[in-house]
Amino acid sequence: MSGFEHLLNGFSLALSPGVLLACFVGVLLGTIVGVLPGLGPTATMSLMLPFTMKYGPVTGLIMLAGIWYGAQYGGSTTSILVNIPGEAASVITCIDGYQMAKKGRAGAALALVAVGSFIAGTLGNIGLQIFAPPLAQAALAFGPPEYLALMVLAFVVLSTLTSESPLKGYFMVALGLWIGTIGIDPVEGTPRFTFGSYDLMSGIDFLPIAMGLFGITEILTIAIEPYVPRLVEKIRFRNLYPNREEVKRSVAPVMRGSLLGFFVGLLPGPAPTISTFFSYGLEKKISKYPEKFGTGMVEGVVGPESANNSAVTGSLIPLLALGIPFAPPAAVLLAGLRMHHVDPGPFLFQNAPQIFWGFIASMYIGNVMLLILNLPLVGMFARIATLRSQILMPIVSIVCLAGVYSIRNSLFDIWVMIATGVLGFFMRKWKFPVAPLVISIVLGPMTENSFRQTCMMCRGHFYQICSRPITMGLLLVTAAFVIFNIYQGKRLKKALSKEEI
Amino acid sequence: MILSGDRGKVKSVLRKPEVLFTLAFTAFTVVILFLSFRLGFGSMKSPGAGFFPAFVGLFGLTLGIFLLIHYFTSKRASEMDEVTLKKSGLKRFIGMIVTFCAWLIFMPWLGFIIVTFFATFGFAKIMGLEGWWRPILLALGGSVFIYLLFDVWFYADLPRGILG
Repeated sequence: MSGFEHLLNGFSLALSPGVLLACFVGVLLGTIVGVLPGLGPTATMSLMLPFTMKYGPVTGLIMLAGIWYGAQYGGSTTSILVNIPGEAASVITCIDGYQMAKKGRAGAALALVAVGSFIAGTLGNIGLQIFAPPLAQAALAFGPPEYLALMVLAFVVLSTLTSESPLKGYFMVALGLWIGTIGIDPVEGTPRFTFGSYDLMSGIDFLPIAMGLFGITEILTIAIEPYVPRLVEKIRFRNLYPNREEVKRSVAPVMRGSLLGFFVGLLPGPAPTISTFFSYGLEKKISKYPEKFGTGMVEGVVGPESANNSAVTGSLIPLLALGIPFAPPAAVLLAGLRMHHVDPGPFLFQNAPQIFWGFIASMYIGNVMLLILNLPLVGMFARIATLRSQILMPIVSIVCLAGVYSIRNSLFDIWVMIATGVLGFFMRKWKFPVAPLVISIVLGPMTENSFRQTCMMCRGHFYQICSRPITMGLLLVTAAFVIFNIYQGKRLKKALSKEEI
Repeated sequence: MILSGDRGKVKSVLRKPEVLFTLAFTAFTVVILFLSFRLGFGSMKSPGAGFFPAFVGLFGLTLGIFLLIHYFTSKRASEMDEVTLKKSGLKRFIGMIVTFCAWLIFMPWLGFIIVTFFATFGFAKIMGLEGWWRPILLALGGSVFIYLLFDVWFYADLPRGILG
């Protein structure tokens, strides 16, 4: 069956009423959490995991992914209107977006961002459709050493990009990998680190940890801050028309942002956020008027907003083609698929192509839904930002509690969620990154498996992996990244000490 | 953690809690190492159950030591941020945790509907929702929402407690 036929089959699946509804719920929730500062897509996706259990893997995957890319659309709304980013990936949008709003061009900025995000999302989707199947095909040649090297690369890059101090990131990786070993050893059947507890025999489930680190931590962080009401400018549909000049200036940044975001998305780490900084820097560098950036330049708004949308689709490639998540939301998607006994990776395309193609088709549909939702209803979404945390957080708290319990009917899981939530609060305060911890918990069993198999394959002689070109290539890239990072760190230190002098 | 009002002590406190946090984690990696060796290390040719955790423990221990050295040698240590928590914020923080734990402890006996009602009310009051009617209405709406969502729609087996 050709790719086009697969896609048509995917559309027939994605257009069925249940899947269509799941897609709509996903993108709607995504837009809402994108608008709301605080609650992010990872927390919401974790919160929705129990609900996806009722439906099939395709429906669940579509709903969860809808939240992720929907949040990128919604994040810009409050950045432009109130100078408060709804999402980390919309921080950069505040700079010129809010200045545009102050000049009375908020409607135009919102409309251009919505259209730009739609174009970027669609282009990213085409990229996903083109690159994921051949990568999955190539990954069939991967053995345990290749997977181990790939995971080492992911851990190193992720730890470096998500933390001020890579040491803290690596430390979190170690903690996550250890948590992944709790339970019965898959080879020898020996209980490990269970301390005689029956609850620990089956290991620590990912969902309570994700809900704790992203949900409870967020609730506690919001709880300690005094409530400050937000005032949002009223936006009507008739205010959304950009002028010809603004449209003309937006075309190239949207295209550049889409391309840049897609490739940044392939890297481990918070790709949507990083891509916005790259895009903003690029637009400023190639602009004829770089000094005007920060005063309401439309290029500084549409470029980054397009980049974060295509970065999300780019991030899905390593997950779907290799089965390795490079970002926390992708880790939640992986957990969701595993709950349905579906393992993404090379064999997904052979054994269950309907999941991949149905998902691709639903993303095309989801992007259209988001465009429709975000243009005429932008005023309504902007008002959601004024929803009081005193009303929202109690509801989120009880959904977390009941949601975690409903998965395994386990009170122990709730203890885990509360404990990790409190731990996450202090980790956030002391700048210990959460992303490497979450990814290493999910990848822990796979890493251990690959590690043990590699040892057995090499019969204890690790130098034998040098004869495997892919493994060597990946390890060299990792080493180059570490060396480059140390060099950059030293340069930065020198620059800082010069400044101090 | 520094409470407001102790601002004069900020410089001398440095990052004491952060150091303690790292120290606790580092000490924990020693426990992991010890337990891993007890599980059986095996050999490089045939790794045992404790083989991978031992590597992880060793990796964590090395990193922890490096981090601690970094804290004490870094010139910029005093400039790093400390957790500043106002007393009212601390009260809300503890109140939220206590309410989470109360839901968990009382849910099996009282049932999820009643406990959810009281927990939502508690959360709302702790978060600062004014008056009595609004928190009560929110708690009522919250417990009905949870009942409809989990019991009616998802057939989740949440204990009903005294409501049978």
